[in-house]
Amino acid sequence: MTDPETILIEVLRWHPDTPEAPWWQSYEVPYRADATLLEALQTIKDDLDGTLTFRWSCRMAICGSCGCMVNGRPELSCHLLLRDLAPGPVRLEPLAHFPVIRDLVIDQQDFLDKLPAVGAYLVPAEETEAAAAAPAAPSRQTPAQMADYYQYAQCINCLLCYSACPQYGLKPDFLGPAALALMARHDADSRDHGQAGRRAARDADTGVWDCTLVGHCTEVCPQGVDPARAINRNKTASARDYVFDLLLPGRRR
Amino acid sequence: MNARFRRSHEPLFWLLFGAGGLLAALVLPALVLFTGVIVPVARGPGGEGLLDYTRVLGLLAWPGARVALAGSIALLAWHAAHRILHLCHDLGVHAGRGLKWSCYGSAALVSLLACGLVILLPSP
Ligand code: SF4
Ligand code: FES
Repeated sequence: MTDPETILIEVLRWHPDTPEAPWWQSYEVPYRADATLLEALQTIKDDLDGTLTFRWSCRMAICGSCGCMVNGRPELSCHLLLRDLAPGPVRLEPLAHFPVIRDLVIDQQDFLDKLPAVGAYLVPAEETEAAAAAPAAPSRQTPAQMADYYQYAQCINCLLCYSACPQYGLKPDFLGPAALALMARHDADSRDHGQAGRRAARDADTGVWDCTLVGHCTEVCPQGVDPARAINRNKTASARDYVFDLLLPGRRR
Repeated sequence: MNARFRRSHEPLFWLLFGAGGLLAALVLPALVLFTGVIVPVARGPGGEGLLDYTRVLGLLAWPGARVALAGSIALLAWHAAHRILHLCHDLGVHAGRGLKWSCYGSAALVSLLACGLVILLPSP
Protein backbone atom coordinates (compact mmCIF):
# COMPACT_ATOMS: atom_id res chain seq x y z
CA MET A 1 0.00 0.00 0.00
CA THR A 2 1.38 3.39 -0.93
CA ASP A 3 1.15 6.11 1.68
CA PRO A 4 -1.43 8.84 1.08
CA GLU A 5 -0.16 12.37 0.47
CA THR A 6 -2.43 13.91 3.03
CA ILE A 7 -4.90 12.91 5.69
CA LEU A 8 -8.17 14.69 6.40
CA ILE A 9 -8.57 15.88 9.99
CA GLU A 10 -11.92 17.29 11.09
CA VAL A 11 -12.03 19.26 14.31
CA LEU A 12 -15.08 20.32 16.30
CA ARG A 13 -14.33 23.94 17.07
CA TRP A 14 -15.81 26.55 19.38
CA HIS A 15 -14.57 29.92 20.54
CA PRO A 16 -16.21 31.62 23.51
CA ASP A 17 -15.90 35.09 21.99
CA THR A 18 -17.78 34.23 18.80
CA PRO A 19 -21.55 34.01 18.81
CA GLU A 20 -21.41 30.94 16.59
CA ALA A 21 -22.46 27.48 17.64
CA PRO A 22 -19.69 24.86 17.55
CA TRP A 23 -18.69 24.07 13.98
CA TRP A 24 -16.74 21.37 12.19
CA GLN A 25 -13.62 22.45 10.36
CA SER A 26 -11.61 20.22 8.02
CA TYR A 27 -7.87 20.31 7.40
CA GLU A 28 -5.86 18.42 4.78
CA VAL A 29 -2.65 17.68 6.64
CA PRO A 30 0.54 16.28 5.06
CA TYR A 31 0.76 12.59 5.92
CA ARG A 32 3.79 10.94 7.49
CA ALA A 33 3.55 7.35 8.66
CA ASP A 34 5.67 8.04 11.75
CA ALA A 35 3.96 11.29 12.77
CA THR A 36 1.67 11.38 15.77
CA LEU A 37 -1.77 12.92 15.77
CA LEU A 38 -0.40 15.65 18.04
CA GLU A 39 2.24 16.49 15.43
CA ALA A 40 -0.52 16.76 12.84
CA LEU A 41 -2.34 19.22 15.12
CA GLN A 42 0.87 21.21 15.50
CA THR A 43 1.26 21.27 11.72
CA ILE A 44 -2.24 22.70 11.47
CA LYS A 45 -1.46 25.35 14.06
CA ASP A 46 1.92 26.29 12.52
CA ASP A 47 1.08 26.17 8.82
CA LEU A 48 -2.67 26.11 8.23
CA ASP A 49 -4.67 27.80 10.98
CA GLY A 50 -3.08 29.53 13.96
CA THR A 51 -6.43 29.92 15.72
CA LEU A 52 -6.84 26.20 16.47
CA THR A 53 -6.40 25.66 20.20
CA PHE A 54 -5.34 22.48 22.00
CA ARG A 55 -3.27 21.52 25.04
CA TRP A 56 -0.04 19.60 24.99
CA SER A 57 3.28 19.53 26.77
CA CYS A 58 5.36 16.36 26.97
CA ARG A 59 4.36 14.75 23.61
CA MET A 60 5.30 11.39 25.15
CA ALA A 61 2.14 10.25 26.99
CA ILE A 62 3.23 11.30 30.44
CA CYS A 63 1.87 14.80 31.15
CA GLY A 64 -1.75 13.91 30.44
CA SER A 65 -2.69 17.22 28.82
CA CYS A 66 -3.38 16.30 25.17
CA GLY A 67 -6.54 14.18 25.59
CA CYS A 68 -9.38 14.54 23.09
CA MET A 69 -12.05 12.41 21.45
CA VAL A 70 -10.63 10.70 18.36
CA ASN A 71 -13.38 9.19 16.22
CA GLY A 72 -15.53 9.10 19.33
CA ARG A 73 -13.02 7.47 21.65
CA PRO A 74 -10.99 9.29 24.32
CA GLU A 75 -7.28 9.20 23.40
CA LEU A 76 -4.00 11.03 23.99
CA SER A 77 -3.23 12.70 20.69
CA CYS A 78 0.51 12.22 21.24
CA HIS A 79 -0.03 8.50 21.74
CA LEU A 80 -1.58 7.83 18.32
CA LEU A 81 0.29 7.48 15.06
CA LEU A 82 -1.21 8.79 11.84
CA ARG A 83 -0.54 5.42 10.22
CA ASP A 84 -2.98 3.83 12.64
CA LEU A 85 -5.61 6.40 11.65
CA ALA A 86 -5.05 6.29 7.88
CA PRO A 87 -6.72 6.67 5.49
CA GLY A 88 -8.92 8.91 7.62
CA PRO A 89 -10.85 11.07 7.96
CA VAL A 90 -10.06 11.61 11.63
CA ARG A 91 -12.74 13.34 13.68
CA LEU A 92 -11.54 15.23 16.76
CA GLU A 93 -13.73 16.62 19.53
CA PRO A 94 -12.96 17.94 23.00
CA LEU A 95 -13.08 15.31 25.76
CA ALA A 96 -16.68 14.32 26.41
CA HIS A 97 -18.50 15.26 29.64
CA PHE A 98 -16.38 18.37 30.38
CA PRO A 99 -17.14 22.04 29.85
CA VAL A 100 -15.24 23.35 26.83
CA ILE A 101 -13.05 26.42 27.20
CA ARG A 102 -12.11 26.69 23.53
CA ASP A 103 -11.74 24.18 20.66
CA LEU A 104 -10.12 21.03 22.13
CA VAL A 105 -9.37 22.60 25.51
CA ILE A 106 -11.62 21.46 28.37
CA ASP A 107 -12.03 22.70 31.94
CA GLN A 108 -10.65 20.15 34.46
CA GLN A 109 -11.74 22.09 37.54
CA ASP A 110 -14.31 19.48 38.54
CA PHE A 111 -11.63 16.80 38.75
CA LEU A 112 -9.23 19.08 40.61
CA ASP A 113 -11.94 19.71 43.21
CA LYS A 114 -12.45 15.99 43.64
CA LEU A 115 -8.82 15.17 44.39
CA PRO A 116 -8.85 16.61 47.93
CA ALA A 117 -12.33 15.10 48.46
CA VAL A 118 -10.93 11.58 48.04
CA GLY A 119 -7.87 12.33 50.15
CA ALA A 120 -5.43 11.82 47.29
CA TYR A 121 -2.36 12.41 49.42
CA LEU A 122 -0.40 10.41 52.02
CA VAL A 123 -1.50 11.05 55.60
CA PRO A 124 1.27 10.58 58.16
CA ALA A 125 0.75 8.67 61.42
CA GLU A 126 -0.52 10.68 64.39
CA GLU A 127 2.37 12.74 65.63
CA THR A 128 3.32 11.72 69.13
CA GLU A 129 5.64 13.97 71.12
CA ALA A 130 8.31 11.30 71.12
CA ALA A 131 8.02 10.86 67.37
CA ALA A 132 8.12 14.60 66.80
CA ALA A 133 11.27 14.91 68.90
CA ALA A 134 13.06 12.04 67.13
CA PRO A 135 14.73 12.71 63.79
CA ALA A 136 12.43 11.69 60.92
CA ALA A 137 13.16 8.13 59.88
CA PRO A 138 12.84 7.15 56.23
CA SER A 139 9.70 5.19 55.44
CA ARG A 140 10.94 1.95 54.00
CA GLN A 141 8.81 -0.29 51.82
CA THR A 142 9.29 -3.81 50.57
CA PRO A 143 8.78 -4.49 46.86
CA ALA A 144 5.58 -6.34 47.77
CA GLN A 145 4.25 -3.33 49.67
CA MET A 146 5.04 -1.12 46.71
CA ALA A 147 3.36 -3.51 44.29
CA ASP A 148 0.11 -3.03 46.26
CA TYR A 149 -0.34 0.51 45.01
CA TYR A 150 2.14 0.95 42.16
CA GLN A 151 -0.33 0.32 39.35
CA TYR A 152 -2.75 2.95 40.66
CA ALA A 153 0.09 5.42 41.13
CA GLN A 154 0.68 5.49 37.37
CA CYS A 155 -2.27 7.84 36.78
CA ILE A 156 -1.31 10.95 34.80
CA ASN A 157 -4.65 12.75 35.37
CA CYS A 158 -5.38 12.81 31.65
CA LEU A 159 -9.14 12.39 32.34
CA LEU A 160 -9.69 10.01 29.42
CA CYS A 161 -11.48 7.73 31.88
CA TYR A 162 -13.99 10.47 32.78
CA SER A 163 -14.85 10.90 29.12
CA ALA A 164 -15.24 7.14 28.81
CA CYS A 165 -17.50 6.86 31.85
CA PRO A 166 -21.23 7.03 31.01
CA GLN A 167 -22.08 7.36 34.71
CA TYR A 168 -19.97 10.50 35.02
CA GLY A 169 -21.73 11.80 31.92
CA LEU A 170 -25.12 11.21 33.54
CA LYS A 171 -24.14 12.45 36.99
CA PRO A 172 -21.22 14.88 37.27
CA ASP A 173 -21.24 14.60 41.09
CA PHE A 174 -19.84 11.08 40.78
CA LEU A 175 -16.25 11.18 42.02
CA GLY A 176 -15.30 9.17 38.97
CA PRO A 177 -12.67 6.65 37.90
CA ALA A 178 -9.33 8.41 38.35
CA ALA A 179 -10.21 10.03 41.70
CA LEU A 180 -11.48 6.72 43.09
CA ALA A 181 -8.42 4.89 41.77
CA LEU A 182 -6.27 7.48 43.55
CA MET A 183 -8.29 6.87 46.70
CA ALA A 184 -7.42 3.17 46.41
CA ARG A 185 -3.81 4.07 45.62
CA HIS A 186 -3.37 5.98 48.89
CA ASP A 187 -5.36 3.48 50.96
CA ALA A 188 -3.09 0.69 49.73
CA ASP A 189 0.17 2.49 50.58
CA SER A 190 1.86 1.08 53.69
CA ARG A 191 3.09 4.59 54.62
CA ASP A 192 -0.44 5.99 54.70
CA HIS A 193 -2.64 6.39 57.79
CA GLY A 194 -5.54 8.23 56.20
CA GLN A 195 -7.95 5.39 55.41
CA ALA A 196 -10.55 6.42 57.98
CA GLY A 197 -10.68 9.91 56.51
CA ARG A 198 -11.43 8.56 53.02
CA ARG A 199 -14.27 6.33 54.07
CA ALA A 200 -17.11 8.83 53.93
CA ALA A 201 -16.30 9.67 50.32
CA ARG A 202 -15.93 6.00 49.44
CA ASP A 203 -19.26 4.98 51.02
CA ALA A 204 -21.35 7.77 49.52
CA ASP A 205 -23.61 7.41 46.49
CA THR A 206 -21.25 9.73 44.66
CA GLY A 207 -18.35 7.49 45.73
CA VAL A 208 -17.99 3.91 44.62
CA TRP A 209 -21.77 3.34 44.47
CA ASP A 210 -22.43 5.42 41.37
CA CYS A 211 -20.24 3.02 39.40
CA THR A 212 -22.08 0.25 37.54
CA LEU A 213 -18.95 -1.55 36.35
CA VAL A 214 -19.14 -0.48 32.74
CA GLY A 215 -15.35 -0.89 32.60
CA HIS A 216 -14.69 1.46 29.68
CA CYS A 217 -12.44 3.59 31.95
CA THR A 218 -9.99 0.71 32.16
CA GLU A 219 -10.07 0.13 28.41
CA VAL A 220 -9.15 3.71 27.52
CA CYS A 221 -6.56 4.33 30.25
CA PRO A 222 -3.16 4.88 28.57
CA GLN A 223 -1.36 3.96 31.78
CA GLY A 224 -2.94 0.60 32.60
CA VAL A 225 -4.36 1.95 35.86
CA ASP A 226 -7.55 -0.18 35.87
CA PRO A 227 -9.87 2.19 37.77
CA ALA A 228 -12.76 -0.29 37.39
CA ARG A 229 -10.90 -2.80 39.52
CA ALA A 230 -9.98 -0.19 42.12
CA ILE A 231 -13.60 0.92 42.44
CA ASN A 232 -15.11 -2.53 42.58
CA ARG A 233 -12.69 -3.77 45.21
CA ASN A 234 -13.74 -0.78 47.25
CA LYS A 235 -17.39 -1.66 46.70
CA THR A 236 -16.76 -4.96 48.45
CA ALA A 237 -14.98 -3.15 51.28
CA SER A 238 -17.75 -0.56 51.53
CA ALA A 239 -20.46 -3.25 51.59
CA ARG A 240 -18.57 -5.18 54.27
CA ASP A 241 -18.35 -2.08 56.46
CA TYR A 242 -22.03 -1.35 55.86
CA VAL A 243 -23.06 -4.80 57.11
CA PHE A 244 -20.74 -4.74 60.12
CA ASP A 245 -21.81 -1.22 61.08
CA LEU A 246 -25.42 -2.35 60.88
CA LEU A 247 -24.87 -5.48 62.98
CA LEU A 248 -22.53 -3.92 65.53
CA PRO A 249 -24.04 -0.59 66.53
CA GLY A 250 -21.46 1.85 67.78
CA ARG A 251 -18.79 0.40 65.52
CA ARG A 252 -18.78 3.63 63.59
CA ARG A 253 -20.32 7.11 63.88
CA MET B 1 -13.67 16.88 53.58
CA ASN B 2 -16.55 14.67 54.69
CA ALA B 3 -19.49 17.01 55.15
CA ARG B 4 -20.69 16.62 51.56
CA PHE B 5 -20.84 12.81 51.68
CA ARG B 6 -23.91 10.96 52.96
CA ARG B 7 -23.63 7.24 53.41
CA SER B 8 -25.30 5.27 50.65
CA HIS B 9 -27.73 2.42 51.32
CA GLU B 10 -26.80 0.92 47.99
CA PRO B 11 -24.69 -1.85 49.62
CA LEU B 12 -27.87 -3.54 50.84
CA PHE B 13 -29.35 -3.68 47.35
CA TRP B 14 -26.01 -4.44 45.76
CA LEU B 15 -25.47 -7.47 48.01
CA LEU B 16 -28.95 -8.81 47.18
CA PHE B 17 -28.29 -8.06 43.51
CA GLY B 18 -24.97 -9.88 43.65
CA ALA B 19 -26.42 -12.91 45.39
CA GLY B 20 -29.25 -13.04 42.86
CA GLY B 21 -26.78 -12.65 40.02
CA LEU B 22 -24.74 -15.57 41.27
CA LEU B 23 -27.88 -17.68 41.42
CA ALA B 24 -28.98 -16.54 38.00
CA ALA B 25 -25.61 -17.51 36.57
CA LEU B 26 -25.31 -20.85 38.33
CA VAL B 27 -28.79 -22.21 38.91
CA LEU B 28 -30.77 -20.95 35.94
CA PRO B 29 -28.62 -22.61 33.24
CA ALA B 30 -28.79 -25.86 35.20
CA LEU B 31 -32.57 -25.56 35.40
CA VAL B 32 -32.85 -24.80 31.70
CA LEU B 33 -30.65 -27.77 30.90
CA PHE B 34 -32.66 -30.03 33.18
CA THR B 35 -36.20 -28.99 32.33
CA GLY B 36 -35.56 -28.03 28.72
CA VAL B 37 -33.16 -30.73 27.50
CA ILE B 38 -32.56 -33.59 29.88
CA VAL B 39 -36.16 -34.24 30.88
CA PRO B 40 -37.59 -34.15 27.33
CA VAL B 41 -34.78 -36.39 26.07
CA ALA B 42 -35.18 -38.79 29.00
CA ARG B 43 -38.91 -39.03 28.33
CA GLY B 44 -38.31 -42.36 26.67
CA PRO B 45 -39.09 -45.65 28.33
CA GLY B 46 -38.92 -45.26 32.12
CA GLY B 47 -38.59 -41.47 31.94
CA GLU B 48 -42.27 -40.60 31.89
CA GLY B 49 -43.64 -38.32 34.52
CA LEU B 50 -40.24 -37.00 35.69
CA LEU B 51 -41.73 -33.57 36.26
CA ASP B 52 -45.16 -34.63 37.51
CA TYR B 53 -46.67 -32.38 40.15
CA THR B 54 -46.58 -34.94 42.93
CA ARG B 55 -42.98 -35.84 42.16
CA VAL B 56 -41.79 -32.27 42.13
CA LEU B 57 -43.76 -31.59 45.29
CA GLY B 58 -41.91 -34.53 46.81
CA LEU B 59 -38.70 -32.53 46.45
CA LEU B 60 -40.13 -30.14 49.00
CA ALA B 61 -40.56 -32.76 51.69
CA TRP B 62 -37.43 -31.45 53.37
CA PRO B 63 -37.94 -27.96 54.88
CA GLY B 64 -34.51 -26.87 53.71
CA ALA B 65 -35.66 -27.30 50.11
CA ARG B 66 -38.55 -24.93 50.78
CA VAL B 67 -36.24 -22.30 52.24
CA ALA B 68 -33.94 -22.68 49.23
CA LEU B 69 -36.87 -22.35 46.83
CA ALA B 70 -38.23 -19.20 48.46
CA GLY B 71 -34.71 -17.78 48.78
CA SER B 72 -33.94 -18.38 45.11
CA ILE B 73 -37.14 -16.78 43.90
CA ALA B 74 -36.65 -13.78 46.19
CA LEU B 75 -33.00 -13.21 45.27
CA LEU B 76 -33.72 -13.47 41.55
CA ALA B 77 -36.45 -10.87 42.01
CA TRP B 78 -34.07 -8.49 43.82
CA HIS B 79 -31.52 -9.03 41.09
CA ALA B 80 -34.06 -8.19 38.41
CA ALA B 81 -35.34 -5.13 40.29
CA HIS B 82 -31.85 -3.69 40.69
CA ARG B 83 -31.04 -4.36 37.06
CA ILE B 84 -34.21 -2.73 35.75
CA LEU B 85 -33.67 0.33 37.96
CA HIS B 86 -30.10 0.79 36.73
CA LEU B 87 -31.06 0.09 33.15
CA CYS B 88 -33.61 2.91 33.34
CA HIS B 89 -30.90 5.20 34.73
CA ASP B 90 -28.52 4.19 31.93
CA LEU B 91 -31.21 4.91 29.35
CA GLY B 92 -31.65 8.37 30.82
CA VAL B 93 -34.94 7.68 32.61
CA HIS B 94 -34.53 9.27 36.03
CA ALA B 95 -37.93 8.71 37.54
CA GLY B 96 -36.54 9.26 41.03
CA ARG B 97 -37.94 7.72 44.16
CA GLY B 98 -41.10 6.45 42.54
CA LEU B 99 -39.22 4.15 40.20
CA LYS B 100 -36.94 3.01 43.00
CA TRP B 101 -39.87 2.18 45.24
CA SER B 102 -41.74 0.34 42.51
CA CYS B 103 -38.67 -1.71 41.51
CA TYR B 104 -37.61 -2.71 45.00
CA GLY B 105 -41.23 -2.83 46.15
CA SER B 106 -42.03 -5.45 43.52
CA ALA B 107 -39.01 -7.45 44.61
CA ALA B 108 -40.20 -7.28 48.22
CA LEU B 109 -43.67 -8.35 47.13
CA VAL B 110 -42.31 -11.30 45.15
CA SER B 111 -40.22 -12.30 48.17
CA LEU B 112 -43.27 -12.21 50.42
CA LEU B 113 -45.32 -14.23 47.95
CA ALA B 114 -42.49 -16.78 47.64
CA CYS B 115 -42.34 -17.16 51.43
CA GLY B 116 -46.11 -17.52 51.64
CA LEU B 117 -46.06 -20.04 48.83
CA VAL B 118 -43.59 -22.42 50.45
CA ILE B 119 -45.42 -22.13 53.76
CA LEU B 120 -48.81 -22.84 52.25
CA LEU B 121 -47.79 -25.57 49.78
CA PRO B 122 -49.21 -28.91 50.97
CA SER B 123 -46.84 -31.52 52.30
CA PRO B 124 -46.32 -34.37 49.87
S1 SF4 C 1 -6.86 6.54 35.48
FE1 SF4 C 1 -5.88 6.38 33.44
S2 SF4 C 1 -7.37 7.34 32.04
FE2 SF4 C 1 -7.93 7.99 34.11
S3 SF4 C 1 -6.88 9.96 34.42
FE3 SF4 C 1 -5.52 8.35 35.24
S4 SF4 C 1 -4.15 7.82 33.54
FE4 SF4 C 1 -5.88 8.96 32.64
S1 FES D 1 1.42 15.77 25.29
FE1 FES D 1 1.76 14.94 27.29
S2 FES D 1 0.43 13.25 27.32
FE2 FES D 1 0.25 13.91 25.26
